[in-house]
Amino acid sequence: MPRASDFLGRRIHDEDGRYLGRIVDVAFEDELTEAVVVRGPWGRLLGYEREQVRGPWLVETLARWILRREMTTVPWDPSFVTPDPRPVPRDRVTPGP
Amino acid sequence: MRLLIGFDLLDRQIVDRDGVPVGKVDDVELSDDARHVTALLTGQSALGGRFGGVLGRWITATTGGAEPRRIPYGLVALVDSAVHLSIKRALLTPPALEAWLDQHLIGRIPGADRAEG
Amino acid sequence: MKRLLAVTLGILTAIGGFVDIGDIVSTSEAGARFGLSHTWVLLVGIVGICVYAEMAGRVTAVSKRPVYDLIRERLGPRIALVNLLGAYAITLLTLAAEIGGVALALQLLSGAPYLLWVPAVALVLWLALWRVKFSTLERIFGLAGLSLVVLLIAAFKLQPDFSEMTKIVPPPGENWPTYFFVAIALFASAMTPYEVFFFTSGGVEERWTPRDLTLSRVNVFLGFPLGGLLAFGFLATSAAVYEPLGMRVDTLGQAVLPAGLAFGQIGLGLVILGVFAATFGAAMETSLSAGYTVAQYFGWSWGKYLRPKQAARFHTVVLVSILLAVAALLTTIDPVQLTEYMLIFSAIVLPLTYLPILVIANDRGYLGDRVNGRLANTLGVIYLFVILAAAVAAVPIMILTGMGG
Repeated sequence: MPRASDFLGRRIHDEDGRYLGRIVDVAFEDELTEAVVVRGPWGRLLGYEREQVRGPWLVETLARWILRREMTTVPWDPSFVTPDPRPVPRDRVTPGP
Repeated sequence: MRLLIGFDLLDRQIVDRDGVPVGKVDDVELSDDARHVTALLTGQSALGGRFGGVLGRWITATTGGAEPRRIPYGLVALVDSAVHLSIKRALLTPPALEAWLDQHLIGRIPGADRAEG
Repeated sequence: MKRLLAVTLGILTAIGGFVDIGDIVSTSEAGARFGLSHTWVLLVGIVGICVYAEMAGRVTAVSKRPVYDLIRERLGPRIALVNLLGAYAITLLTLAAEIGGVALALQLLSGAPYLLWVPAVALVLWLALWRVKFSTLERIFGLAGLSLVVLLIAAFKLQPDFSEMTKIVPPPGENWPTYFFVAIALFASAMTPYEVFFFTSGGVEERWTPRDLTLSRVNVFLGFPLGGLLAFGFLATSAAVYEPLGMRVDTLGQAVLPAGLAFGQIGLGLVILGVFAATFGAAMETSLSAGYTVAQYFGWSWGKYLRPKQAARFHTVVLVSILLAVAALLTTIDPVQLTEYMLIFSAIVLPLTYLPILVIANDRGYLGDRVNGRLANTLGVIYLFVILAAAVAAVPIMILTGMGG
């Protein structure tokens, strides 16, 4: 069975092979819906990706400024999961059909 | 309710229906087609798997090779500052280390069965 | 009376932060060398720990989670593990120092060498944690520690140079780096992280709910200033007696002597009782905190409200920590010096503890409308900068001054 640790931190690319970033989180309701992808060195930022965290102004501004530049969401694709045990990472990954 | 696997589940405390700690969400298990969340995994072997490397192996080793405990996602009643289960802790298999220490060390000391309030 | 007893958690927590054995000796030393010119540091420390303990207590009362539980959730398992290792090191070093401190207090009373007392103290400590109710422990040691109030009365009798309180400069003959080293050490120990871990875990042990918010605040705003005031007692009496003589203070015996000079046998007896209670209280605080932090990082069941069988891993960590502390003391290392190494770990742990607390205290998902107001946030951010500055400066200045030489 796949685990969260099999896709968190994974680098993904779009259909044209452009680097999208690392998967830092995945949203789900009944099914898994979308992956939160971050370019650059930052991962989850203390919860500021959620609306409920507000302030203190200085910390929030700093965290959101970093997130806005770096964070995107892409629709969930089961091929993001590398089965366990992980194979040698390919240098370019295209989402499956 | 829309939840985030990383933010709302991973590293959050799991408590039973009475609020007694059960474990941390150390990893999350998906269905084979990777479209649904099927279970929460708790225990140092799951945590070690997330760390990877020497440190991960060392954390895993503290369990004496026990598999992580698997809590079916259907038992989750509510997610707030903790992940609340709908059942009592006693209905789950006890963690191996807890059981071993209870049997060989703590349980042997007089008074181990008395609550102090 | 019941209301009075309800604040003993705050008092005990604060005593462990402000007047544990390391603080007693280092605060007295600060008084002897720098007079009252470090009073402002105590004030800054009291306000800082009040700001963050109030936030932490509020988070716990509303979410029913102790703050250490939430640190891994916000920082992720790796950085939280760094925090855990640092926090555990601080807690264990302090625990060893406190067991040594209780033994030193017993040496003052009995004359028998403190190393003989160490195993006995450790055994009594463990038995108390094993058998006695949390609230009973908290009351006995919180209240007995208050006998240190005699130091404040002694301070007014001995009359140190109170005009130094407003001077933020080292007295003639002392240099700035050493002055700052002492200031950082005093600040770090006022804000020492096991205080918030212990305080909020204690809140959970006492089953706080949102209705106990006021209780939590009263604990914070009475307990911590009181703890700081007791520390000021050591600073002031030592400044009055030793500074004019140009003497250094490096033993517990010297630290308690001024009370004897002021009030004779009774003063000395009261202050030794207070030191005994404070160090024993701090030993309980640190040994429980060692168990709390490890158990809460891994998500194990913990706490004295459960039967020990139900929290076997937690009780094992407490037991092993006490044994490690005894082993460290039996190497004949000076217990008072042990706490001086804490500063290295504090530099890592303080920012990694207080930043997540500040962020969670702003999370409406947990706290609803009980999130931080403007005052708490302003002070929180200011103190975060103070903590960061102290953390960055700590190790270089430690090397520069040879630990305050």
